Amino acid sequence: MIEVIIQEEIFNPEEIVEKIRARVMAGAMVSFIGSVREYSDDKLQFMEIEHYDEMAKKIFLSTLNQAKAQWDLKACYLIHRYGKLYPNEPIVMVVTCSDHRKESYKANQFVVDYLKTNAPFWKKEHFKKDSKWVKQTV
Amino acid sequence: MKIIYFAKIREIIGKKTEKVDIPDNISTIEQLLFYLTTLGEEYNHALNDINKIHVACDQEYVDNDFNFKDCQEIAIFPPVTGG
Repeated sequence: MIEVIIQEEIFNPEEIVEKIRARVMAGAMVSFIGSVREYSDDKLQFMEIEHYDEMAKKIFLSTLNQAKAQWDLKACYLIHRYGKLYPNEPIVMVVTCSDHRKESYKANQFVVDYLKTNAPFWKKEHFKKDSKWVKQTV
Repeated sequence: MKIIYFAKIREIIGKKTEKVDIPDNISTIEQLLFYLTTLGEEYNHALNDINKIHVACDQEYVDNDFNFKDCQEIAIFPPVTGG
């Protein structure tokens, strides 16, 4: 199972875990959730995420297919949001499932690392008095 | 040629997308970026540091020496910050 979702709406990580567990029989499942941080130089009001939809879908699908083949995954799932997000809301979730834990851990880290440096999304932080584009930190 | 801009580059240029008539003698991404900087002060400001710009042709990353003549859509954007 491979699934990619790019959406504006908030998602519930627990529901996603249960959805995958209902569909996939696997000995191991690893999930990563990236959320909006409240702290920065100033108190964050909200974050805006801009994205290039067609390219993001292509990159996510090819990355998940590569991870599935390389680590023999039972499932590889990725959801990423865009639009207006508030502190502590989830931005991204990557779930990997395999027979044993090592493959799921490695594949999950690979997918997250790859998307951080390649997926066409851009974050802008909005504070009370100003706003700024987030700089890439890898 | 359809060109799309994203994030800070989009803000500085003041357009999300546009059709640009590109002279025949311009064929590589590096030449294109230089040509765009001549279109106005905002383009020059947005695109003058080639090391901080990424380019995708038809949704695939390409290098500065790539020949873009067969592409339908060129996207120009700063380093990504998703995840």
